[in-house]
Amino acid sequence: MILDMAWRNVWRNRRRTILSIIVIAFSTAALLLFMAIINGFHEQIIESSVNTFNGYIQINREGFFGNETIDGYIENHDLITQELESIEGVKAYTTRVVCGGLVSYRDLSFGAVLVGIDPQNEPQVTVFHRGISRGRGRFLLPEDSNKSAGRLLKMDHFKERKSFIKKVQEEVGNPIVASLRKSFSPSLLKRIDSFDEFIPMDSDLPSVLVKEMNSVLDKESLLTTAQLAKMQINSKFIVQDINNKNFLRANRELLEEVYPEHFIKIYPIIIGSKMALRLNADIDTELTIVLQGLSGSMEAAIFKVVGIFDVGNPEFNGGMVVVPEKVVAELVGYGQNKTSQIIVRLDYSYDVDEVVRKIKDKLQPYKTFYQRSQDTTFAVTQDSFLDIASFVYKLKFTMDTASVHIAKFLSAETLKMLDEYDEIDMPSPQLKESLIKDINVLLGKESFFDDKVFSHVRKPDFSKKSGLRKFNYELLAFSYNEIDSLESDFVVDEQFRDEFVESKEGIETQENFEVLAWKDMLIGVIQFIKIENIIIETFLSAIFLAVFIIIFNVMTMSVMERKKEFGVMKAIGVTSKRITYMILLESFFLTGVALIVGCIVGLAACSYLYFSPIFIESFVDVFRQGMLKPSIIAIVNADVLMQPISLVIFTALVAPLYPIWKISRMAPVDAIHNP
Amino acid sequence: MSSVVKAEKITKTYTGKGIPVTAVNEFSLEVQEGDFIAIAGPSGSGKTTILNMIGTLDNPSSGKVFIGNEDASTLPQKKLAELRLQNIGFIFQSYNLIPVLTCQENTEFVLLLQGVPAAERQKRVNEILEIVGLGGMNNRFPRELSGGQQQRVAVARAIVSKPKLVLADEPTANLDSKTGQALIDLMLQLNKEHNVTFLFSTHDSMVMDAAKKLIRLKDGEIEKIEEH
Repeated sequence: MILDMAWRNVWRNRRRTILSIIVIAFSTAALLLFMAIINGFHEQIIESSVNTFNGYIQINREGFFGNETIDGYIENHDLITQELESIEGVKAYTTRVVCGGLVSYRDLSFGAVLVGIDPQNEPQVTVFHRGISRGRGRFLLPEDSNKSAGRLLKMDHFKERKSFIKKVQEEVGNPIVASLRKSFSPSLLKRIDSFDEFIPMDSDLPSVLVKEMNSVLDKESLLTTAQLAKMQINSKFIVQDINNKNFLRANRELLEEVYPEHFIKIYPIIIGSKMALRLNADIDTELTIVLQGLSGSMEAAIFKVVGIFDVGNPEFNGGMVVVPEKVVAELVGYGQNKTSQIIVRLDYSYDVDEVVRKIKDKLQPYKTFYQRSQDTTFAVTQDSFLDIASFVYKLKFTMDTASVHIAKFLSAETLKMLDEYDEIDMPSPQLKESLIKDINVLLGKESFFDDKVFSHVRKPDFSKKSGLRKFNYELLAFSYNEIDSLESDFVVDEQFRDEFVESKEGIETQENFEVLAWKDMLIGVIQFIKIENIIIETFLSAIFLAVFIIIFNVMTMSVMERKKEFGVMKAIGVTSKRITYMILLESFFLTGVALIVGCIVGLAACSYLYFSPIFIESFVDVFRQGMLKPSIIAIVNADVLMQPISLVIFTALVAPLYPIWKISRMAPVDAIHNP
Repeated sequence: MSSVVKAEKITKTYTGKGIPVTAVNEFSLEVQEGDFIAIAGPSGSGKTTILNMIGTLDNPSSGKVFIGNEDASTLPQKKLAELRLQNIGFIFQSYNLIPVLTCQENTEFVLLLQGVPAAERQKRVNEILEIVGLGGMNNRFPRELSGGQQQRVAVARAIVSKPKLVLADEPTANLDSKTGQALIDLMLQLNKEHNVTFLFSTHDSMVMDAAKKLIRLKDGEIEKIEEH
C-alpha cells in the first residue's frame, strides 16, 4: 500500500509533476545525446587511428614503439604468431617491416617511413586499404610480394677476386656471368677458365680483370641516375682489388643488360596523397628509395607507384610509403624470420586489456628465457646431462646459446613449469614428462629419448645417425660455439654441419617483447579524451545541479504541504522509517518516469544522429586533420547510457533527504496542529 | 474492569516569549475499559493538550501517562508509535483521512501496519464500514464523501483494529447538528455493543449529554466531574 500511496502522491499535483518530468526528461535526453556525440568523436578518433593503421594491439621488440629502427626486429616471429592462433579474442594478425628511407623522384627527395605490409593479411587487420578509395589507383595485391628481384650475382662476389674469378669460371649459366663473359676479351676468358684456386694466381690477372671490368662499367647506364651514382653508399660495393668505380652501378647495369624487363623493378608501391603532391608524382611514376640495411649497408631500389592513398591523417598521407613486406624485408636484410612488428585485430566483443594480458602470459616464457640469455655466465656442458635434475637446472640458469636454443623448441607449458621450478626440489614428473616430450620433438620426432636413457647421454655415440647423436652434437657445438674446435674431437658429417650452421643463424639474442594496447600507443588521443572528460564532468555537474534543484524543490514542496498528513500518519502509528521509504519512493517514481521518457527521447535523437550524421562542410579541414570524418555522429554504448541514468537515480536519492529529515524530526502533534 | 489509560498529575507548560504558560495543571484521570468520557471546556482550557498527552502525541512537562502498565514517558518515539498503533485509535476534528487512499484503504491502513493478513483485513474493513453506515462505499476517495461520511471513515479507521482506547478530539466540531448527532449515536452504539472505550474532548453539548462521565475543565484544571 505504501507503494500505491507513493505513486498516487506523485500525481496529486498533476501539473507540477508533469512540468518536473518534462524538465528532468529533457535534461536526461540532452545529457544522453551530448555523451553519445562525445563518444562518437572518441570512437571516430580511435577508429581512424586504430583501425586505419595502428591496430588494437601491437607486438614489438621492447622500445620499438616510438623509435622504429631496423635494429628493433622480432626474430622468429612465427613462434609468436603460432601462440596468437590459440588466444581467444584474436581475430586476425599481420606482420609489418618498418624502416626509414629516402624517397626520391627526379630532383626531389624526402625522408619517409617505409612500411612493408603483407597485402593478404593487412586488410584483415586494418582498414588502411580503404584509403585508396579516397585516392587513386589500387592497393597492394598478394602477388606483388612475389615480384622481388633476384640478385643473380651478389655484391659479395665482387669482394674477393678469387671467388669472383671462380664464379665467372663456373657459373656460365648465370645470366650475369654469361653477360660478363660476352664482354671480356677471349684472352681474359681463357685465363679465367684455366684458373686453379690451388695454384697461385698470375700476378697480372687482377689488373687485366680490373681493366676489362672498367670497360664494361664505362658504358652509359640506362637506369642509374646521376644522383644514384653520386651516393656515398656506393663505396660499400667497390671491389677493393678490382676497381674503385661504383659497383652498385656495375651490378645494376649487368643485371639490366641480361634482364632488362625484370631487373628494373619496379616493385609496386603506394604512397600518400600529400607525398604524391610533394614529389609531384602520380600513378606509374617510378621512385627511387634508398635505405639502410641491417648490416649497415645502403640499399636502393626502384618502385613504381600503383596507388595513392588518403587516410585523412596528414602524417600518414605525407610521410609514409607502403610496399610489400617481402620487398622491404629483403632490402633491409631481415629475410624470412625477422619482422618489425605484429599487428593484432580483436573480435569486437573482447576487451583489449584482457587480450593483451593473455598475449603477455603466452609470451612470458619466451621473454623470460630471452632475458636470461643476456646474463649468461655458465655454459651447458656434457656433464649437465648426467641426470634430468641437473639438466633442468642448467636449462633454467645457464642461458648460454645451447640452453636458449633448446628453449626455443620447448612448449609454453614446459617453459612455464621451468620458470616456476624452484631449483631445490627434484623437477616434478610433469616437468620431466613435458621436457622429454619437447626434446623428442626437437630430435625429429624420434621418441626414444626418455627418462631412463637420459642418463646415458654421457658418451655421445656418433657412429649412429640417431637423433640423439645429432642432439648432443648440437648442444655441444652450441656450448662451445666454434664448430671448428669440435671438429677436431668429433667426426661430423656435412648434413649435420649444415643444419647446425643454419640453426645457429637463427639464434640471436632476443630482446624483450612489448605488447601494446591501442591506449598505450595513442597517448595524445588519450590525453585529449581526458581533457574532454573534464568538460563532460563540468557539464554533468551542471545537469546534476539542475536536476537536483528540480527534485529538491518538488519533493520539499510536496512533503511540506502534507505535513499534517504525515502528522496523522505518525499519530496512527506509522514509523519515520516507513515515511522515509514512502518519500524516497515518490522521488524515484517521479524521476523514474522522467528517466524513461528522457531515455526514449534521447535514444531516438541518438539513433537519428547515428544513422544520419550531420555533415559539417565548413569544418572539413579541421576534422580531417584530426583524422575525423567531418560529421557529427552519436554512438551509444553502456557507458553513455549508464552515466545519465546513474546520475539521475543518485539525484533522486539525495534530493529528498532534506524534507525527509524535516519530517522525521517533527513531533506528530506539531504536524497535526500547526501544519 | 481494567484500567486502559492512566494520567497521573500531568502538567503541560509552554514557554512562549519567555513567559511560561501552564496549559494543563496536574490533571489526573484513569480510563477504564468501556468508558465513554468527555472532557469539556471552553477554548484554551487544555482539552486537546490533555488528549495529545494521553495519546502519547505530546509529552507532559511533568506527571506520567500509563498505557496499560507501560509508562509512556520513558519510551522512545519508535516504541511510542508502536504503542499507539496497537492500543489507541484517533479521531480528529477535521477528519484527517489520507486523501490518496480510498475509504477501504484508509480503514485498512492501520491493520496493514499491524501486519494483519489480507483476507482478515478485508473481512474486518467490510464489517466496520457496514457498522459505520458506509457499506458499499469502499472504493470512494475522501474527496468524494461528505464531511459526515469522512468522519465516519475516521471512526472506522480508529476502531477497526479494536484499540483499547479511542481518542476523539472534537469529532463533531465540523459537522452540522444532525450529522453530529448521528455520529454520537454511532459511537454510543459502538461503546454499548462492541465495548469500545472512548475519550472525547468537546464543547458540543450533544456530546456532553451523551457522555457517561463529563470532566469540565477550566484553565487547565478540573473544575467539575459529572457522572451521568
